[in-house]
Amino acid sequence: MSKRVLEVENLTTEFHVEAGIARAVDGISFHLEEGETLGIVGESGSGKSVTSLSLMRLVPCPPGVILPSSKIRINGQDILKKSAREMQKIRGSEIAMIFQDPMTALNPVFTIGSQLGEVLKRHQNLDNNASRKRGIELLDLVGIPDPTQRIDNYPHQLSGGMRQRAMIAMALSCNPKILIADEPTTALDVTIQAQILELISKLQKEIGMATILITHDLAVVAEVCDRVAVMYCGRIVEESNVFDLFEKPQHPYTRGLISSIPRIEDAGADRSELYAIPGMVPDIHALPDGCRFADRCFQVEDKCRTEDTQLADTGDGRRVSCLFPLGQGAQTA
Amino acid sequence: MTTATLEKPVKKEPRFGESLFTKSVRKFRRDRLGMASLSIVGVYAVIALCVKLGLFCSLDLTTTPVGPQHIAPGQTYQHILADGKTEERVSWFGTDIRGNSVGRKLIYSIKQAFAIGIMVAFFSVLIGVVLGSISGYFGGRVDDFLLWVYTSMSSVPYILWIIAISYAFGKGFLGVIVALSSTFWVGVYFNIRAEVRRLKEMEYVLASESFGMTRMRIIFGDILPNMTHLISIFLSLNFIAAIKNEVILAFLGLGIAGEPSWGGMISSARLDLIAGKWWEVTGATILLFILVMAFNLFTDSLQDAFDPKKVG
Repeated sequence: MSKRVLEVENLTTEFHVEAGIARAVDGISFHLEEGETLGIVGESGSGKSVTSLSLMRLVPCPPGVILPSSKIRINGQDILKKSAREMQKIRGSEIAMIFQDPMTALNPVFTIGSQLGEVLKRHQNLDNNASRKRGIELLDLVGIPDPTQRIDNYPHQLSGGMRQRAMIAMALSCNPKILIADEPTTALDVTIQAQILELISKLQKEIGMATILITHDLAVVAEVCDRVAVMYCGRIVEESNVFDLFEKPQHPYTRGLISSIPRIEDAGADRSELYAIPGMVPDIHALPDGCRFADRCFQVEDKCRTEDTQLADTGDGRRVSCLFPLGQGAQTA
Repeated sequence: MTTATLEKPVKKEPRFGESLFTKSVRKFRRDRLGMASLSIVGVYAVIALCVKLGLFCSLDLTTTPVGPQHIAPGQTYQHILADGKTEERVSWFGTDIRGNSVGRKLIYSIKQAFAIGIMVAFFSVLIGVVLGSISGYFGGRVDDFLLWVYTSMSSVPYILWIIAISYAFGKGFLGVIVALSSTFWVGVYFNIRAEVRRLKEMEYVLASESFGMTRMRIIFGDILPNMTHLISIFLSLNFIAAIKNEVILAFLGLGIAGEPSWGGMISSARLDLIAGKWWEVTGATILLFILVMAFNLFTDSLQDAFDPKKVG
């Protein structure tokens, strides 16, 4: 078993707002091994982005609070015990992040080169010439053509895909051990999406960093992830390697998600209507007592409404949080 | 395009690395009204600089009588030469109650106006930007406190505040600068605070945080450069406002004592106009009007050219 670069235990992030306490992330635990890609999937509001911000300790505070019972260990060090100054050193050098919208994630008034240079100067103490040289290398690495000229471009002079590449170059500039990609392809069109994903997995192999890919797109997960954690209402409901998850989902929610992917074989057939999971995500301020998915589950039983579920091992390194996990041989609906 | 270039297309070099600033400058240069107003302001600025350097209209020349009092513009008078002899001269701008040349006073006042405008604009914007950035970025108690200072300051009728400060610092240049700077920063503060609150939600700020940048770096390195248009507009607005307010202060008897300024000249109108001596107040008003007008037009064009949201 390879080294665990990230261990998250019982991570709970709350937002203390006027309507009450919203527990956006509720006691999740997972780990990340060296060189591995973990996908975190879930609907909007399931706590994916808050999870990633918590890992960087960038949850806006107030109103956000990471409860002290939580533990986030990067290479064995609990980052929740670090001071703000130590944390600034960790960010960017140990753990870096790329964002959903490359249009807004780059500062419009500076050139790509100067933004890259700032990161390099901060963490690697390079001087102007060295950081420019390294910047050109990085832009070349992420596949930006003509990097010697592009380094002097402003973000508005680059296309969306180029900007995301530049953003990736910035994130990689200090060789982080962990890369968090928060919906890196959502704002890009499909052809560029494929290129960016390919780039991330290529670089990951070359540099050997672990990646957390946050997405709501199961197709992306199937493409690049080794393991997947499915989140629902601030909890991980199922965790599995990517093949088993798509073959034999054990949580009804996962199965619903997979069923709602449009498939080309179904087009024009009698089942032309796309499957959708019925109902809505429950209000985070008024969560039900029992299983949070009970109201939308197709195989709900009385017990589900009263008894809360726990994430439990089901063998083969899989974990599921359901009282009646779907058995072997279950078909994707 | 000529046929030669059509046959053999010349690849136009793309403008790599053209900064927003050079873009804005290019945009501004196409704005005729803006350029015209800038050149008027430029002429004023050159005169102000020359006076400052002592090339002409030095203070002692300005305050030395050239002839009898209240000569109307265009009239001849006996000019007293250094050796005591007299010579017939035409006074184009007339003289004031002490026999000083109104023309020289007008020119000298340009320097006064620029000195006040530049100092007040600089200090008020500096205070406003620093406090506004801190208040907007950190929020919480710091913000509450600064906001409280802001509301207290802005709830005092500003003319009373200016009078109080002017008395405390004495009638003179320093008093005017302190009085105007300490009232003008509030507008800058409030606008900068709002802009910082908006900009800090931008993803590039979060991205900078995620790369481990310090807070001060983020405020002054990431957020501030995105507000250059606001800052330049406040600089020019406060410049104009300071010049206009100096006139008000002078009219209230709190202006710069002992040196000519437009404010002083206009305030003398109280006595002069009744006696039919119109030239001093008219001259000062016209010069003030042209400068304020040109500067306002210049500010408008500046705003159009330098707003990063409008620079494409």
